[in-house]
Amino acid sequence: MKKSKLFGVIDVGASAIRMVIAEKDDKKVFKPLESLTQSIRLGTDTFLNGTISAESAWATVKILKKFKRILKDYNASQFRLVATSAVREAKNREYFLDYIYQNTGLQIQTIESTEECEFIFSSMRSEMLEANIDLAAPSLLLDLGTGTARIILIKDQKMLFTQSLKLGSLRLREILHDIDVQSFEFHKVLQAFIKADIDLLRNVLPFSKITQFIATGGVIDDIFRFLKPDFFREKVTKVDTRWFYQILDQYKSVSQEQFVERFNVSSDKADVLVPTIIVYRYFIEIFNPESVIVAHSSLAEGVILNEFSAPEYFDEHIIVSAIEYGKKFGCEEVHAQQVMSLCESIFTQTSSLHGLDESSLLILKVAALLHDIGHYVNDQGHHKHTQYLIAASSIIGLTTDKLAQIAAVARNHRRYAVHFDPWQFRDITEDEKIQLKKLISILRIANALDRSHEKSVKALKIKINKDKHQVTFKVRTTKNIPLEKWAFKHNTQLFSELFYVDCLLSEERIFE
Amino acid sequence: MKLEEFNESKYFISRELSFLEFNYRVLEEAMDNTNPLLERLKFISIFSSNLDEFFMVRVGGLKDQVEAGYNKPEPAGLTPKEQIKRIASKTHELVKKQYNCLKRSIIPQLRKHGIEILKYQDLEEGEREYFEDYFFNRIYSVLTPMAYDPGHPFPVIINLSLNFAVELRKKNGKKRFYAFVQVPPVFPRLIRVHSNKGKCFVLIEEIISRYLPTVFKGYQIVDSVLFRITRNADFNLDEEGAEDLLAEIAKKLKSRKTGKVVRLEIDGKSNSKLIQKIVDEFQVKSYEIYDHITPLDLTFMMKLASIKGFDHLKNNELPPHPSPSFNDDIYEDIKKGDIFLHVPYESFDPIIKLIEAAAEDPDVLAIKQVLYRVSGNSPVVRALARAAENGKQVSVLVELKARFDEESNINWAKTLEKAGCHVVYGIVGLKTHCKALLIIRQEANGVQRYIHLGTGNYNDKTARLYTDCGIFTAKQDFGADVSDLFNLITGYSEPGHWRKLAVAPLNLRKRFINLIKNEVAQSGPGNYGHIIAKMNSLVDSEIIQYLYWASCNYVKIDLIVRGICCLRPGIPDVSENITVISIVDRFLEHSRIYYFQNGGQPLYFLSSADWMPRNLNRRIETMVPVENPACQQRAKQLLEFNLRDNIKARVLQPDGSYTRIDRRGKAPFRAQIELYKAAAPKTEETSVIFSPIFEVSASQD
Repeated sequence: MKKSKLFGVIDVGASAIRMVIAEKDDKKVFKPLESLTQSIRLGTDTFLNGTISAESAWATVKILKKFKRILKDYNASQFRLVATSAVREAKNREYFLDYIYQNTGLQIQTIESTEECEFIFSSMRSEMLEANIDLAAPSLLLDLGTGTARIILIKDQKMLFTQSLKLGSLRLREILHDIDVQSFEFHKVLQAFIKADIDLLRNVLPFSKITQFIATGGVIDDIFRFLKPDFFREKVTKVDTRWFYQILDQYKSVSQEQFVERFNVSSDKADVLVPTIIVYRYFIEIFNPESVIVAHSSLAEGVILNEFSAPEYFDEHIIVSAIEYGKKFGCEEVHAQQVMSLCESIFTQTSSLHGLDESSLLILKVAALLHDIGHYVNDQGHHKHTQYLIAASSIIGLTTDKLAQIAAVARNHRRYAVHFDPWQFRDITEDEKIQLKKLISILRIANALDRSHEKSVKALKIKINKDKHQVTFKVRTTKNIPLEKWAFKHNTQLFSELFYVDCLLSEERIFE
Repeated sequence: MKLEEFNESKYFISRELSFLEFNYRVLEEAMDNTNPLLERLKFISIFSSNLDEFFMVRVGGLKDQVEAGYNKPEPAGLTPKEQIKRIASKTHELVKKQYNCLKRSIIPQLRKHGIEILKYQDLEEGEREYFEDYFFNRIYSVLTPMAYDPGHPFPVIINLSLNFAVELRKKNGKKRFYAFVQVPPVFPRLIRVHSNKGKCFVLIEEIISRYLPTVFKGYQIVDSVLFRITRNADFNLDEEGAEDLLAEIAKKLKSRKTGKVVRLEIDGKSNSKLIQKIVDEFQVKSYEIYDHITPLDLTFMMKLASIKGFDHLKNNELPPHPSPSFNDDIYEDIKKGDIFLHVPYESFDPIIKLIEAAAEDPDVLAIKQVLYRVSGNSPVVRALARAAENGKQVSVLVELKARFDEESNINWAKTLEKAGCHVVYGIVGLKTHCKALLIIRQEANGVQRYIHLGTGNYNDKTARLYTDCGIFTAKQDFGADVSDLFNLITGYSEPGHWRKLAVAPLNLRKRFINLIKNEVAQSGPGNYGHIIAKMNSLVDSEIIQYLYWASCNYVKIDLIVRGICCLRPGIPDVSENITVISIVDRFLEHSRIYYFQNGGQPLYFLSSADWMPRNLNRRIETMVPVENPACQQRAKQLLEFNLRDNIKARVLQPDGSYTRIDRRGKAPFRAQIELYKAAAPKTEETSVIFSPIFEVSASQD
């Protein structure tokens, strides 16, 4: 049998379970083969009762068994099941996941909201690329799902910032289930409800002027397929802000029946119409963008795109997002970047000693970028503040586990005994501890080499002698570096202990 | 006029009466002495079986409506009661014609050619002995007389079976007894007489009648009469909560044998005491009684018409031509460009070959197919089973609800399941009528899908008798749509958005209406639009109103409707620009093709759907655009040839009747024969000689 790269993704969402199977194509990145949807409102269970009901679990099993059959049609052995807010927030999530596994043999991963944003961004971005729409200008993407509203801030084709708000249309519908959607009261309560969240969001956004507003999500998809027949094929359409606003206003008062009739959608899609429209309207009102782009996005397609594309692509977004996060706390960007470059240099040149892979390098780089942000809270014990600020962040592409590791590395950038938070690292193995310590030892040296925050070191060449007993750090500098020399001496101890080496520093002055 | 103004009842022809008109066209073929004699006999039989089904389903349904007190008139303005009355009087008239034709024309001519159905008294002594043996050794043991008296309830009389009602008296007694004897269906209706006079037969009821007294020993037969009842078989399946559709249908099949009586046919007079008993028992109305019907149930004539030899009394053979588009590598052939296949002019083999090849091909991952009616021992079913045994993923959607085929459907569905196929029984409440085949193949450049979408069922037998067409394609958009279609009909996914197909009941109706609107939008005085539509039946009121509206807005509409047509053409200011023809010929016209001029960029579509409410509302149907220019050319030729027919075509008149085309000054043109000639391989000379006489084989789908 000939082989091709096929990948299947099942997305267990708040209002439906979807599956996409796609093939990696030489010409285009992504050739979708199958796309299936089955409505099931896990979100109603979770958002209203906190737990997923037995009926929903049974129905989920039934659907997954069918989807599994289609995977088999393609002999697709590579696939991934992801679940979002409805499962993630369910109190009985562990039971649910186990039940699904026992009855279908399928393991569902609950993904975090930052990951969701990544996937949505990937999917949207690929549509934009095809439509030749530029993402250079400051853009705000609002993807309104049924469980979560995902906000992604974009500049220069990259994600700067993501935030998930619990403003999903179905969730809002369920929270306010005792108020009639058509009533004026519903609009008012909902607006107030949203306002609180959006105000908070505005305060943390790194810039205030949004040029492009990108709207994605199921309901907006349905409306635009109806309004613009080409939308289904093009998947992206640029519209005038005022016109978009008018359209929203118009649909605000459409009844469920009319919606079902006109758009040929099922009635369960119709009852989240009003909350959806209100959220979009409010965003437009507040950010008043120059133009609006309506685009198609699909979490499942995003997962596949990320599977098919090279991983470095995402590292870039993570770095950009980390820098953005650092700026929030007034961190010195030049120093942060310098430490990051030095870390990368040391990491790559000493790989024969530490044997770590690329994913460790990413942890190290982000830790390097953010190691000083604790100063924002207090200079006293700033490393401790650094730790929790990182751990609590939502940097694009980083899971809670990853963030905890980064936080731990960053916290230990100072030359004292390595300390791991006993609560966060209660499950960590000795091996993993050693890996983190290796990263810490590199960060300490890198930080020492820019101790004066003056970016004096222009180049670093590391020489490891034959028997691996001695490591020489040859630096080229533009000026004298007494402080760096001193710091180096005091910060190589961990490195020496871990790798059984002596560390030497040699300096070469260059004149500009 | 506005669209809504076209809904007046005077603009519509009654659906049921239009059906009878169609059946009359079938009968006309039997009456047409330019048709070969045995082909005429086939039409006699088809006329009868069409009528049987019509009574069971349509008249049965109307009777239900009357009983439920439903009194709303149909679009042509007739209430159910009125329809029943009109149907009865028309049917009486037609049946009379049928028997006249049979007895005065066909039977005497058959006799001339040495084919004869004899009466008992015509038999010679030796022949009578043979039948005596036949009766006592074979029939006698199977006969089951059922008494009817205060101690025995009225026996169950099975739908469409032949039965004797017998009035008895004990020897020396005065008291009357009644009994019923069913003519056992296990024996052939016609029993061959071994004589040297020619091909002679005796009807089984003739033999049973002669020896009936021996069945009732100790009694004397006072009177006996042979009769046949037709029952209402229009069951509405309560699918809600029907967890197991298979079991539910098996159950319903049993009930079909006991539905309300809608017709009573009597081989003899209707005024006997015996008939009165039956009439009372089944509450038969006088207009539901058809007497002097001898012999009863002419469907058996199909057997006689297929008698071996007598080639000079039959149609010339028209063996299907091989399609020139298929060579050695069927996949490569399809990838080269879409292929249009038109049966029975072209052979059905490529479809079977495609499935058979897929079954053995290690690169094929999965096969999916909709099966509606398949032949017994179908090569399609065998190939699918083989594929499953070879480890392919085979999904088959079996439509159990194909009327009167349910029993056989259940059987081969089980065969497929045993072989490891994944068999799905359709969506609750919707009959899956689309015809689709999907093959998923792993190729060097990735996954490739091959599809076939057609107008006819995957049935190798009917593919030699019905005209149908289909498209093979490997294009991605079509493949993705068909994948979605299967996910929808197997209940695996909710409907998505279609790239190329239109699918009923989701968007097909809307699509048709938009196409008509689009045609109107592009038309004006001096710039006529043009729609050509070929289908089996045209019933849907909404579509008809849009056609009237288009006719009034500079769109010329040519309709080729084989069967029922409720549209009334040629009404001033309503349907002046509409013509309707019907072709009833040797092959059953079955293809559905829709053409829209579209301002000079013509659109062609093939569909599984007629313009009937049931197709557009209650069935899963597809319509596929014909995009490849070569395929469009084929579709165009098909329509043109049909419109040029002046031998078998009839033209619908404003009054609902059909007339033949005035051929004066025109060269004779018979579409089916011309299409057959056109399908012949281009390089070799066609060797078949066409006699001017050809015949039809039609049955109601």
